[in-house]
Amino acid sequence: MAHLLTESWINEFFFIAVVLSASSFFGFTIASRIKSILPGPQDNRFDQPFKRIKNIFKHVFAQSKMWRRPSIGLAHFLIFWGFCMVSLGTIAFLLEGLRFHVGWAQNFIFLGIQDFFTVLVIAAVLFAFFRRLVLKPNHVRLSGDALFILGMILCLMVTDLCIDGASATLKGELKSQAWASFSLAHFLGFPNWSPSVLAGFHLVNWWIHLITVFLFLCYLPFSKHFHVITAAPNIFFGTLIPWGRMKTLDLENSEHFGVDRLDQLSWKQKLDTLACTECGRCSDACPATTMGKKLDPANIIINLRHHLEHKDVNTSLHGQTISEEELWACTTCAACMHACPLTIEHIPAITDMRRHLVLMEGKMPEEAMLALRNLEQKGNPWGISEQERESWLDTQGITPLNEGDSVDLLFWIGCAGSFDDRSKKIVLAMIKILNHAKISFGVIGKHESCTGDPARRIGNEYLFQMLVQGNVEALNKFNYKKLLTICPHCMNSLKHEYQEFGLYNSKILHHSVFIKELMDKGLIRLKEAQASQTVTLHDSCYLTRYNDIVDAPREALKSVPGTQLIEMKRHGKSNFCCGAGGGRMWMEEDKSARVNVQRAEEAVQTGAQTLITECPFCMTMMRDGTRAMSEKERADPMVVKDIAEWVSEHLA
Amino acid sequence: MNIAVCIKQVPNTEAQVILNDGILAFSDPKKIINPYDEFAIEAALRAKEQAFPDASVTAITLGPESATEALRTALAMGCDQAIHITHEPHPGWLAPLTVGQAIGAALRQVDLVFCGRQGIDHDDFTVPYVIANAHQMSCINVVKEITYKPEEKKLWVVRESDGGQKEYFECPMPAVLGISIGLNKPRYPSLPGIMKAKKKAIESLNLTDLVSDSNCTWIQPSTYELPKAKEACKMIKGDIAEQASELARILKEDLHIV
Repeated sequence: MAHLLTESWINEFFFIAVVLSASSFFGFTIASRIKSILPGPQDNRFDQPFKRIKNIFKHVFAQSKMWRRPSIGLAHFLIFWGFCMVSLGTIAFLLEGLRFHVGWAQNFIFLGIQDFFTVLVIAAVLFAFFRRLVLKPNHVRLSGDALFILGMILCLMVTDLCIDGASATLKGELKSQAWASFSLAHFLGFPNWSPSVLAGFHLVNWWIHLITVFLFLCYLPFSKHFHVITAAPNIFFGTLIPWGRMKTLDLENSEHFGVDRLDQLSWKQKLDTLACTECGRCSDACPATTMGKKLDPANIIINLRHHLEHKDVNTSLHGQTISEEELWACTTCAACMHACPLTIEHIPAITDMRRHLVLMEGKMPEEAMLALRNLEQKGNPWGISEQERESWLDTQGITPLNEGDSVDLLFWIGCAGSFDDRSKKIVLAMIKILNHAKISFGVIGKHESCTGDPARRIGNEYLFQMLVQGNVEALNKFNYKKLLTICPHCMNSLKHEYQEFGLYNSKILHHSVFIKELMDKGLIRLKEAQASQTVTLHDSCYLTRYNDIVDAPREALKSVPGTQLIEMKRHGKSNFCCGAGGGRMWMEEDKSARVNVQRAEEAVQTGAQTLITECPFCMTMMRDGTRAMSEKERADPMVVKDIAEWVSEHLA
Repeated sequence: MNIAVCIKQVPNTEAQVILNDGILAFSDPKKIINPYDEFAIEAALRAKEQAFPDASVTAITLGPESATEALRTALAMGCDQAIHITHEPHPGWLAPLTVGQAIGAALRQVDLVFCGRQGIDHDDFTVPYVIANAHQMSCINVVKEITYKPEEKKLWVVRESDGGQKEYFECPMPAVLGISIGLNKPRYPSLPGIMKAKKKAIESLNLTDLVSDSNCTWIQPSTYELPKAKEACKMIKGDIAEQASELARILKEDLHIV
């Protein structure tokens, strides 16, 4: 961008004054933001630097998550890279303003590329305006803030072209390589303008451009577009710990548990709030938001930011900023975290606030309290006698191992498999498969207790740690190579959360993966197809998003002759929760529409004959959902089966 | 102002009763606070919070070593102190009269005593009356509602008798109240409450210091008999015609009803 009119000292004086004051203001704002997020518990996010840099390439440079919506992904990609290129021009503009000679900025190749990106940014901005004002997708919040920012970007681009066109014309260097400014100059007829008018036009555009640059910079920290600055650090410092491993609380040496105030959130959790662009992808994916409940993950993050910006650090977050109703509506399905392009961690913020309610105030929905009391007194959320774990195994002729026994495969039956009649059938189907494949296995009967997953996710870390202690002691009394479970929640806890408490063995398998392994080894013989049977698979969130298990159950299903898998629109890592996670299984869902009915509708819409689940809680929710639908439509409910049942029914 | 709440540790409600060579045992060794007593603890804490802010709430129990767990829970919920009346191991259990006398003797100065309406293990409904008798206090059992009038040293109590009719009482203090389920919602102890409760001292008293040996009555049945297990439903399989003819056969041949 050429610079003509800094000869006048007044111009130069004001230029330097604007640069200095705006830069100081911006620097001061950033410093105060950093200061505001720093107080809080330790949270080391500097480990594994190479992995973090890789994430920068993946999520910042390649914008991998943005491409899930290709048209928007393209528009954002162009704005991002266009902006980077145009920023080079802006740097040149400022350097020239300070009377530095910037040779490369005069290069016609550079000018041509600059023009290319300037035009791309204009196109992308116009598309963004069109999307917000005309298309109006559900999840996009129409805000004055967004329009103002888009307006500023448009203004920067247009003035940039005007400055270049006018400057080149005045110098007599109007060349076609800088094609956009060249075209604009000819379109507006610059060569025919008198030099003084053109110089005035240039001056006005130059000042508008300069002021907009700094207005943009100073306005950023106060708008959702602060993500231009915070996104990259937020992604760099994003969690590298498995999502299924909740932070362990030190119960002995702390006085406060969970999050009540901002200074109890870590600096990274507060950085999350500054990085949020309010794009609404998390809200779109959230089952609670979708069903019209009060919880909206974006609002959780945005409201925390408003609290950070406007309220005293000692004010409680609970009540005005975040309501209990919002916190209890979360199924911890992590659809929000999966959707967020900036790797914001919504779930830990929600569960940390739940921890405060439960551990410090004893506050929770009544049914959650009952589940916790059952866990405390009876070791399972159903509140049934622990003796029943062995009694029913006994009716099936299965004798638990004795302490010290060795076995290759230990089958962790879990509470659902022990106490819920429908889930018992899943266990029996799995046992049928194991017997068919001639795999010897053992169970530990009454030595099992709940893994503590619901207690931890409801917020009772104390109870969780007690249950873990008991289970680790019990498991370490047996020698086994692999641990098999039909429950993704048991699997997740045992796999990610138990090592910290001393579980020696970490080879924990979900039955869908194990079935696939047995198939691969040729240990499962299946009946020839009699007729084509259509199934659809409801993924468990704790398998897909938490444990990256997406393909194994699909491949296992497709290996069954005659089975045709029809996918629901939301499947794999983008699946929609059944509504039972995060302890929600034990709470009533009496407000607005139910998550499981919505999901059952999606399953029925596929036209498949059978709905396959991979989790006993999903099974309960999907059975209830399909029944509720059939009552409404007066038709037989869709058949729901676990993947183990499907395979066992097709054994040769 | 002293408030006391009497609690008892009982077998887990889901535990199965097992008879081994004439000795009664339970399938689940975990014990719990008598469920009615949880409501009594909450009632005692609310009495302090709502009407008698200067009061001290004492939880008291009589039982084996493990009964201290029940007292720790009461302390975690918010009771100020705890008394444990211990006794020598015995194959039987103490008569409610003895329990009431022991608790009555342990509670020296008391203005309000809360109990569960009954223990779910032996269903005696007796202890509240014995305590009241020991201190010449009013006593109302199966209480559904309480309104406090601290200035007048009086309570308004609603009692529900069998059949659901309500009886209204103006009750002078001191008083013993036997609390029924549904009076309140017992609170969930906070973690700091649990941690503090772990460190609190529990006053230990010996049964023999409270009740003379000659007044100690132990109960021990000569023999036990468990109820017969209910017979499971028999499902008749087959199509409707087969089911109908099988049902007719059972009614006629097996049960001799038709």
